[in-house]
Amino acid sequence: MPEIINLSIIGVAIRMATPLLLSSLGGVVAYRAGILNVGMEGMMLAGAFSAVVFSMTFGSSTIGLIAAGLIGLLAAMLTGLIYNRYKGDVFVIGMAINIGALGLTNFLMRSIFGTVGAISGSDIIGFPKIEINAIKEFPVLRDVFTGNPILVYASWGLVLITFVFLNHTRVGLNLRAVGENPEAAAAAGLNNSWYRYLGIALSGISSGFAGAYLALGQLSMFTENMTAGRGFIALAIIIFGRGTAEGALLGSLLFGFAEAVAMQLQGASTVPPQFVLMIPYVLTVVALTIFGVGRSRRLST
Amino acid sequence: MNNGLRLLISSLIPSVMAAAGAFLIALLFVVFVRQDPSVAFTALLNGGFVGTQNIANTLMKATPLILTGLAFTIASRAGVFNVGAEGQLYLGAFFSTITALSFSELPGLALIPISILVGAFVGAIWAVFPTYLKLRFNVNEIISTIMLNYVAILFTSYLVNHPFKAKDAQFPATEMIPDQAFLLRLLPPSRLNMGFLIAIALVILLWLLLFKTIWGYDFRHVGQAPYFSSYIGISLPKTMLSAMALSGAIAGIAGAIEVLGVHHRFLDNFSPGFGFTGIIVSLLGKANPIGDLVGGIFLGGLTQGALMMELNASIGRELVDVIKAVLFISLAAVEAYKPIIHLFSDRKVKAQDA
Amino acid sequence: MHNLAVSMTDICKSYGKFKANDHVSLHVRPGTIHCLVGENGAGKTTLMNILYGLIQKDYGEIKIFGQPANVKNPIDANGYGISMVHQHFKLVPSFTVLENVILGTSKTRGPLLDKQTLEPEILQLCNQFGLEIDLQKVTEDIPVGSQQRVEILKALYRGTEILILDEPTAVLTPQESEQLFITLEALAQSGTAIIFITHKLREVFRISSEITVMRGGRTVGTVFTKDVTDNHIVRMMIGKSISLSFDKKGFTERKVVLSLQKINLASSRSKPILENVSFEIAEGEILGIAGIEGNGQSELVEVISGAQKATSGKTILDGDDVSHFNVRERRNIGVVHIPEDRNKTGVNISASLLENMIANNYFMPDISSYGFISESKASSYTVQICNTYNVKSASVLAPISSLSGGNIQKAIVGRELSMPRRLLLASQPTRGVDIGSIEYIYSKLIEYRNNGLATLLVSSDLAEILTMSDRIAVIYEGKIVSILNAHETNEIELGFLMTGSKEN
Repeated sequence: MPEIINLSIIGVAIRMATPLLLSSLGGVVAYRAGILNVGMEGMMLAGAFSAVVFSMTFGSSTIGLIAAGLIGLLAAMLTGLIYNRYKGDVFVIGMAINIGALGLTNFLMRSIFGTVGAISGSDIIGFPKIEINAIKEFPVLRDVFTGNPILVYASWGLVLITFVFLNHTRVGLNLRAVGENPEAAAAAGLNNSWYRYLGIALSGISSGFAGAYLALGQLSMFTENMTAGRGFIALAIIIFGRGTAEGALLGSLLFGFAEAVAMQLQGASTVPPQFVLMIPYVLTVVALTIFGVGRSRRLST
Repeated sequence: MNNGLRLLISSLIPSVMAAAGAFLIALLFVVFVRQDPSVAFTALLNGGFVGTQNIANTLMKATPLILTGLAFTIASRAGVFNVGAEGQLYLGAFFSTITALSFSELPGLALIPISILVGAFVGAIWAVFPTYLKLRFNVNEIISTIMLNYVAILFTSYLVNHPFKAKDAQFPATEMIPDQAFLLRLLPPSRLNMGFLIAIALVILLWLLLFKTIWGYDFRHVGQAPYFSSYIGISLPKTMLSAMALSGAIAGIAGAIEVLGVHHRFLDNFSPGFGFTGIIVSLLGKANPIGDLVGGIFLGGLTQGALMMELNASIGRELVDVIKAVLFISLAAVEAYKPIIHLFSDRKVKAQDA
Repeated sequence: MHNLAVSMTDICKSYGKFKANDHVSLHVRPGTIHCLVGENGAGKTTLMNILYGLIQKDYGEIKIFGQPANVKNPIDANGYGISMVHQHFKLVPSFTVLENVILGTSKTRGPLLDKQTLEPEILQLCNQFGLEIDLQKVTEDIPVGSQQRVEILKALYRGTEILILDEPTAVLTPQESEQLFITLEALAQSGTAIIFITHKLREVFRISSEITVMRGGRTVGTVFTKDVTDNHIVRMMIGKSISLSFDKKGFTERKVVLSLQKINLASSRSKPILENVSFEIAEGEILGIAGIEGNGQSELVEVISGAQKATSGKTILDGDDVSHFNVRERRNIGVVHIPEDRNKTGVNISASLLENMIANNYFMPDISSYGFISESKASSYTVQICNTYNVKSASVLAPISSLSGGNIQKAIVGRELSMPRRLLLASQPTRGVDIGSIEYIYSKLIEYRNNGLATLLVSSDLAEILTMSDRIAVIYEGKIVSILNAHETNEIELGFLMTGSKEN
């Protein structure tokens, strides 16, 4: 066992948790505004693709990150428009975004780069990694605080910001009112559409960032359907985390850890890779089953 | 023009508009990647809908889409979203392959129905499981069915890579099923087969079931008005479970037909997202089995046409995925078509008055 | 100050051919309580929704304190100093009272919520107008009467000058209503104009100084309360006087149809929803259930209909224990049910009239064979119900949503009573129904009673309970606190029992 599971797993878990945390935090805000953003998977994939394309074109990972956030925002605004203005079903819009992102990224990958399956190369600039030499001697500290892009630590800050935003700001209070009882919010003079746009926009941007992290955080490449259901796992995290920032943090760490274990198993054992790859998906269903019991969110009639 | 026809036409407007919009936007993408749109679209439409072999291939490609469309339709009518058709299809395909391989001494007349039924049964189980979780533990079925897709695909991938891999295969695939289990090819060399006729039969059966029988009454009312349904004594759990079982069974049949009619063995990762395209088919077809037939043939034609387009105009067949996506997104915006529908029906009323 | 707070002139609003408001006028002076009365469907709520900006008028003029006002939405209305307390409260259940009060206002600077600095001001408002509320409580945990006070507090906090209350006493006990009236009088004294929608005449004469009566979408007139009597107002409201006395047949020997024995229903919260409920209903008897909404009536009906399983206790029907029967099994032995929520429960509002009418027997041989529904049988069955119960519809295939509320209710009554029946569960059978349909439904209920049907009548309308019932059971916090003979009690006694207090 020791050679399979060692302390470096903590570092891996944190890296694997980051895209889930990023997207679920934005998703939490949308959820509290009353929208389960089923399209986060597609927004993440589109984010990953544009991060790679823009990082390559402009030679800057920062521009890649911004582009990913913007493409996520664009998809989110489309979602918001169809939902608010044209009364579309959120589930249908979300699935449409997911299929659209998959189709578009494959089409553009073939048409622009002439490749099928993946874009890679040394001209894709990844995120710079933070190295603190002073702590390189200490096992756990080293794994947690060095070798990761700044986005990892930024996501921790976002947990706090999301928490404060939802619970201690006026806009947060209003947004929760819109999500829980839109009629009450409208009667109190709030513009419901505006808060829904806000929630969905934040989930789009954060999913775009999550995609950028996937593409530029470790390997600096894009592969077909590289999100592999992470957007849906983020949705599950939002639900069983009861739509809170702290729940998103715990859920993401749980899944990050599971994926880290899976990766180590894959490298070091005779278990067929398919079963190892199954772990996060099975875990999602199990987690939803365990934490989904009891009343669903209090929504007044 | 009579009332019914007018209603029918105005109900078709969203689907037709969405298709037109999708082509328009796809056209912009073709221009964006510096290709000639007229060449591209001529190749696409000719490849899909002109010539006996092209049409036969279109119908072949439409078969699984009609079936997954039906699967989504029947579940959504009862108020459950089955996003898991993809996984149900994989399991159905795999286990019908195994059945055909295991009972190879049986005559075709017995082996084919048994294999298909096993596929249907396994698909049904894989659909009932998340429904049970939804009813008992309040687990969102959209997420759970998507997760179970990954599980099913990975599981069959393991089976076909390890225990069931054909001895001399260069790629992950099972042994070929016995000849008598092959579904009859209707227009060779095209791989169009009896499966298409099975799909049509299911379209008719499900249409009758939904709109003419007491079970269809249960399905539709549970989906439309759950409070009313339980008040008049329809059991919501039973109805949802049976709708999902039926839905999963149809997805399983789709998988079985792909094996028995097209590939004649189980191939790793053989489905290009049939299950998800089925959702678009169902939306295009307005959750009506007849509409699913039309929507399935339309999307099957695009898929077939895309192959021809790639051959003849060297434009990636992924363009069709873009069309599908735009189609899907614009179908989501139901209200956006309201003004057009009104315009249409108002004019008709005026014409009658005149 | 201008001598009119609200001046609405010639207001028109149509939905298709239906004129909800037809040249309606209303003038309200500051510092007065102005009652707006009329039967359901008279157009009161439409008029108030126009004033509050929830819907847009087609025609007419609105002036607020003499200035022409263009109220496009509730935000505009708040800007003009108008607030509205709706029948269904617009509160966020999981928020504290304080959070609900400050929602949508911006009296603190900066983006952060600073609840401490806001609290004293709100407490002061509570004291000034006698509103007893704990600001820190979670809103869904406080009683309905207190929730209504939160709504009023919200309005006060926004500095309202014109307060609209839409049937505020419908959910209150007589005692809670009295408390509300005291608050409203204090408010009026401080200069607020109050528009009070009701159709309870006792309240009108208790608090108002002026009355505007509406009927069929028009204003019948505005009068000073001191100048008129209740007879006067009734005639203005309904245009004719109706008698609500019925010829109830007497029975000498009657079999017990329904017997509930110690029914308990637990909830996820600490207090049970139903506690040791026992009573009997005999052939040819109407048992009325009186109580304030939310005291377990809905659940009681669900337990008897089979929609909910009781935690313990027995349901006996015609001598047989049916406690484990589901809804359909109970329906098959003669339990018929007019549900309280017509559009959500009583019908599938997106289906046709026909599909709604065959809901009880589409699976039976009279409508279907071998699982196939016969369209001709279904159609003639529907026509038969429509003829017998006076349901007006363009065709049997018309969407049921195209029928008026009264016709939908008659259709439900017809559908239920057309089945073999032993026990009728009637929940709020006349809620939101026009006068003509009410009379019709009452006469049918009495007719079937006289033919021996056992009826459980649940209603929040005490007058309805008193008129229709043979006996009345009063429910309070899930317990039957008393069972009385209808002709030996009155609204006052029931009011006290409904609040769990004994009459002094």
